[in-house]
Amino acid sequence: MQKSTMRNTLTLLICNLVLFSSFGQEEETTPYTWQSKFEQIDNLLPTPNVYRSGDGSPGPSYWQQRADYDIQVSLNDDLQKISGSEDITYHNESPHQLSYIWLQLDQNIREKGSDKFLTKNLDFTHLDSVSTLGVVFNTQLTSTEGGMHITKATDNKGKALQCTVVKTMMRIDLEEPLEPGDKFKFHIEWWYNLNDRMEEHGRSGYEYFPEDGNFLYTIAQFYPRLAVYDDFNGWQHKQFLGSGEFALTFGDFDVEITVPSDHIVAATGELQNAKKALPRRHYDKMQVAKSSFDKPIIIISEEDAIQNEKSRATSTKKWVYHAENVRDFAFASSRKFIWDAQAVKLNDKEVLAMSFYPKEGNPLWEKESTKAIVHTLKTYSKHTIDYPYPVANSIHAASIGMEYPMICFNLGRPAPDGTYSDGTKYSMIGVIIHEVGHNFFPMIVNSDERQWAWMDEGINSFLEYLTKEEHYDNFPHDRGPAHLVVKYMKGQKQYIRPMMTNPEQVMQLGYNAYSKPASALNILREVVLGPELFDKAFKTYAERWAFKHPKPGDFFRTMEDASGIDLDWYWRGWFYSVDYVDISIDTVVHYDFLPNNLAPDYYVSSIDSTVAIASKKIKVVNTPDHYYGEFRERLNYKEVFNKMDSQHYYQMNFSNIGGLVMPIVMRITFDDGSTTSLTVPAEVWRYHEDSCRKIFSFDQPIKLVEIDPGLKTADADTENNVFPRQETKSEFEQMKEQKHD
Amino acid sequence: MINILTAPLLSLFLHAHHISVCEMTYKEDSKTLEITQQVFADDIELFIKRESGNETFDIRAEEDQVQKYLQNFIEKHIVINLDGTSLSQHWIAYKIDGNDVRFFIELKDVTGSQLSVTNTIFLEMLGGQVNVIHFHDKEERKTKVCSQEKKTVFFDL
Ligand SMILES: [Zn+2]
Repeated sequence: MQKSTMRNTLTLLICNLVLFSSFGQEEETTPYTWQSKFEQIDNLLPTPNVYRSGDGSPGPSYWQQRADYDIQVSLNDDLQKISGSEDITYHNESPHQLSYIWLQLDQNIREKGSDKFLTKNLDFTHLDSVSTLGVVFNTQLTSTEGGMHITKATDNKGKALQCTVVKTMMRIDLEEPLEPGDKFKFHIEWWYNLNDRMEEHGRSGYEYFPEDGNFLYTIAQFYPRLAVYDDFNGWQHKQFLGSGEFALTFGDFDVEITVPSDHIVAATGELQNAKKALPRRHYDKMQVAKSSFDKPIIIISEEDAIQNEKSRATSTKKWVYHAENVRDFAFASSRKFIWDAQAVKLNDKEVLAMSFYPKEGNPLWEKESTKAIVHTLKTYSKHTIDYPYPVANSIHAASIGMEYPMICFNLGRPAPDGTYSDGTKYSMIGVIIHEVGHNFFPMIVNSDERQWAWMDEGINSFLEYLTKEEHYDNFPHDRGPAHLVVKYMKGQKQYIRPMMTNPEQVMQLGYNAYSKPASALNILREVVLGPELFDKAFKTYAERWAFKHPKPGDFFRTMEDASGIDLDWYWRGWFYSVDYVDISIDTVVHYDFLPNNLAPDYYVSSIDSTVAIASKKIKVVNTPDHYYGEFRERLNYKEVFNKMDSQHYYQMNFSNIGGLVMPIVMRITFDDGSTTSLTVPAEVWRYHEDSCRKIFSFDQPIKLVEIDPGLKTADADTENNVFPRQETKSEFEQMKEQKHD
Repeated sequence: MINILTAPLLSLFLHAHHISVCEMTYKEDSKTLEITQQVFADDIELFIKRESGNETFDIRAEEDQVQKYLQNFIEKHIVINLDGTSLSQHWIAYKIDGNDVRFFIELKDVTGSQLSVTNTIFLEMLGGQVNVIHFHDKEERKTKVCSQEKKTVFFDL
């Protein structure tokens, strides 16, 4: 007890000295403004309540709504038109009485006069036909009748409902308020014209193949969908403008899809009438695929598909699907589909991974698509929850990547002669992993995409990176590793927004919502927490919020709560600010302690040299009596000196130039060439966000200190990461030399 | 959805803010101007496909198939005058790094008082494109931006 008190007093004394001397130095440099980089983010997060707990988990009274759908939809292949009817059962699980409900009519962004067009910034630039057609669409000269046409809306007794369409949403005013725990059943009928994706673009629509006269349909956002009503926003009433994606309610789907009888359909959910919908030989192959765990089985071959392309059936056929606990439903339909499938085992679950592609996707698709699905399900399941759905489909659609539950539409098309570059191959694999990966974020861990793009795109891009690392050799990453986000982060601040910005307002969305969060999570995992703590916390987040609606605070809180590490500074720096990482090692000075008979040298003048490790000689003197306070015991300076004598002491001064506080990851090289690594936690900056000083002792002299030698922290300037500074060649000089070799 | 960086066609419609970065370093001793120009691989691939009509142009193909396109591109879109006289470019190399393409070119015998830099990269193709130019000499770094509205900027030597 006594001893520890004394140690505290001495520590205090030393602290006083440090404070005093640092105060003295401060006056000479530019004034420094405290920016609260280590302040807690409590004031930025919602106050925990019975719905959302302070530890980041759903609270004891957490609730969410539910909507079950019974849909009949038919695809008109002559007019490229969708018409449908649906019976929705909306369950009010909230503690509130509802007097109206809101539906999403996303197709209405294609309506004349939609806000998407009206708010779009446009100027005349390059007038080739694709760009010009874009201008035409955007200025309403198009003759396409876009948007959803509601032809009927009734309650379950057939009585017309009072509906008000507000841009991309529709409000239904209820005759009787919907009480907590009650459900509301209603019926809607509608139709809309499909868009040509090549001309008009969009997440869904069709592609036309002039050589064989067939269409490939990728159909989504095709039915009036319940908006989310939750404890956080009430109704999610942010209109659809195009960039901010979707917020949807979970439910069960029974969907009957009517298409020309020679079409092949792929959809969310399990096919209920496979025996009836599929020719016997295809049906049999599908059964074989269900137990083929090592390789895909071709269900419809390229020859079969080419044969089928020539058919023009006048009759129709129904494909019946059932999907449980999904937030959405999408499907694809064409005569052109080749189809392969492979089974995946995930603990006690068996999933069927399936790919559907036209011959234009081969030979790339038969080699890579299903394999990429399998890889994705394995890696993502390990880091989150086992993939809970029975199927995972990848559909080839030119020039896009877009995700829906159990089904996604992916780019990657070889040249007409079937050749393809590595670039085409890797971007195709990357897109498939990404879009299949979206099953986990946001289809299962169901964040609000319309509000926060990083919660699905960023977290998903991070797991996409882990999947590529785990299953492919030397995958040419375009995001994920720390160094790939450096250029963006140190760029012009006027073109950068914090990650905590709505996707409709973000500039450089690709970097903001994909690359930066992917790198941020990667750095959090590899540098700050280490894989073990990170993986546990991340899995906890996924388990807690699977099939629920998490918000940013739930993620931040869970990651801290389950890892045991306060990360508020990390969220502040990476998620709420546009700071970048640049830590400089400014000086390294070697201190030698002199025996007592030499002159003392308490105060060390500042050393500016960056070309060599300077040496300073100092000595330990006896502490004056009055500093001991009440203690009777005295320290003997010679004993203290002896304790220090066998070690080499180095003082290192660091500065934080980029503004983002980060751990200082170092590699020290000793005189004999051996090395050691050490990491100083980010809290070292908590007194001064822009500078810190450390003393290290080593049992042999050092010759080199490097910060972040492995390029793991996104440090923007590597020249100031080395001490003594080394003559480094700029990239320009390196390229010039290479050229001369 | 997919990262729009990897979907060139889509990017025309969904992606309003393209940025390229050009680092110019003036070396007083050798009287040379070193230029490193960064652009997005997808953007330039699309641009060259359109300009040249070569639909199969692949930026990641072998150097001998790609270089002449890139060299033409950069000569056309970065024009530098020194006190009113145009300076010719010396091509050094290009490098692909993730989704970035970087060009390295050098200008020699740069003695005079004012440089004018006209950087028209993608200004005609992409609405909202801006080309940021960082000019470094011994003492300082100046930053200016070329855009649809203002294609030429000036730096004093
Ligand atoms: Zn995505």
